[in-house]
Amino acid sequence: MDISKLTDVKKVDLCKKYFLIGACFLPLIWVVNSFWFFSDAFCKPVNNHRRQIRKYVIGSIIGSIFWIIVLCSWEIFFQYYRSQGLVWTDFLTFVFPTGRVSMSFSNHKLFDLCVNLPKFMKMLSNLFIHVQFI
Amino acid sequence: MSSNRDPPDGGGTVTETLTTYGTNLISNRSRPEEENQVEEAELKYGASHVIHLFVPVSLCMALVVFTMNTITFYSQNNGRHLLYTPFVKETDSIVEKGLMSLGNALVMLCVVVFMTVLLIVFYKYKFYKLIHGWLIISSFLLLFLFTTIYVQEVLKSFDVSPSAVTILFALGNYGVLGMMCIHWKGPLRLQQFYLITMSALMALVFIKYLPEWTVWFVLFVISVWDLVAVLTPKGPLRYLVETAQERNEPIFPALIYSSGVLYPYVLVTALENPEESRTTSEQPATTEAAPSTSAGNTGFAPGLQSDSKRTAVKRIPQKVQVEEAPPAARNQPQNVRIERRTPAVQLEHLNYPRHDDYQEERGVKLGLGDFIFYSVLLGKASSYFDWNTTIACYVAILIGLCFTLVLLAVFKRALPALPISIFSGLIFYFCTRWIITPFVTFVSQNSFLY
Repeated sequence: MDISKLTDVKKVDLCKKYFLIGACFLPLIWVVNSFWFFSDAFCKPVNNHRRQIRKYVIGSIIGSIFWIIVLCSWEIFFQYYRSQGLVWTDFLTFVFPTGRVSMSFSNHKLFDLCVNLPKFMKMLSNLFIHVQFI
Repeated sequence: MSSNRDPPDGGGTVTETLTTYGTNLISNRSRPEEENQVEEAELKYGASHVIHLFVPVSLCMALVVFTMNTITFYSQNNGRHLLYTPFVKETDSIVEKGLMSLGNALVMLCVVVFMTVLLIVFYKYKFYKLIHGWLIISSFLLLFLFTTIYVQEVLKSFDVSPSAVTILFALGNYGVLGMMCIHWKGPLRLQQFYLITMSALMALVFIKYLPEWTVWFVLFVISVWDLVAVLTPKGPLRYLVETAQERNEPIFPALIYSSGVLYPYVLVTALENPEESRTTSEQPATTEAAPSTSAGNTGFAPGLQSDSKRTAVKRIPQKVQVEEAPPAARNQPQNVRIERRTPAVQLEHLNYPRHDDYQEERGVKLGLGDFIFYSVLLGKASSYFDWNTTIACYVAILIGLCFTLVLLAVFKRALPALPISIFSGLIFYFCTRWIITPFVTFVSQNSFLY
């Protein structure tokens, strides 16, 4: 779908539909909406339609940021309590990894990075919580 | 891969493009010189479109190879097998193994043929809603269920454990966005991304659930079927195309990857379609499609639906449609266009006057079945952790694809995309594995060269 071929009215319609669909607990749709219509909203000369698109894009951006913050804080909160070994966290854990599986590829640096990055982020989140308490 | 050449539209609006098939076209082309110009421009632009096809095919294959190398889940089949490969007895005798694999491949071929015929029957009697609904259910299953399994395995492999809430929320978002991009409207890059990931997922499921030797036999047999179905005068796919053209309507939307903008009605394939009808007609294996690997040995592998999807995929001839607009023509008010139509792959019918808000864009198109089978070949080759073999197969597949596209430009008719690439991939795989690798090992061990 190439929006440059659409008329302005159709663009507004599409942007609005994406915005409304994203409002149903679908922040990814909002993210896509903001990226897709960003150049139309901000990098082009303004007219009536563009103002509407701008409105929806700004709404999508704000919504996406809100959801990202909510998800990140929930995840940090969850991992913190999970690392303490609380029982209720076990009910909400998606998968119980049994440790890293070793294979011929596993000594590759890229693989190491992929594995260590989430661990690093977990560490960071723990740090964040401790810093907050200080 | 097929291409079907339409004559350039000699004038008037876009909607007057013809929907003819084959080389015996009657066109309202204006002047022979114009046609020559257009033809030349077509060939010139064909090369860049070939390159545009390389990128997604390579991405799909890279994804499959990466997954095969890092996640062991897909290289073991845990004792389960597809319903379509009934001969799975453990045996050491080579003859028996060979015969069993051949038997499996023939069973799969029968399934594919059956599904193709079913699809044609549906199409002939105009059960469009059924086909469309089937496609939607199919892609729904693929997007949600198989992605969930994949994510679960990835998380296990990387030893990360997020909360179920986050994961389910993210997967739901991903799935809904995928459905929107594929079946409705979405950014082009995102659509291409979803098509590539879905093909890679399908290929992974196939690699997982097909027994060792069966994979190679199946690839061979399906390529032969593709060749037969597209090129013979009585071929089912050719019939499908001709019927569509007689009715002067778009062949049912198929799952096609396009490097340009997709025609908005070209969406999910009939591939998945037949599968869905098949799964509903049999015992519903939906409950079986559990990611739990501890379910023991059952005949109903979770792959039942995916397999059907896949076979459906194969069924539809994989065609490449090359469409180009000579740049000069675009600026002309008359919109001289050259279109190549893919016969079976349903697509386009550019001659769709009521929907002139969306026009078909130029871009090379390749059926997703092609992606899947190329990836199956390469993924299986890479599962033995021998990079010589993997790279040899990759090069062979790309050369085959190039060659097929050249033939497309030369013959200007429907061509299957699988045979040349798969045959050359198979030849290269076996030669490298049995001849080159021992040679290189021997030479380097004895310090002749390396």
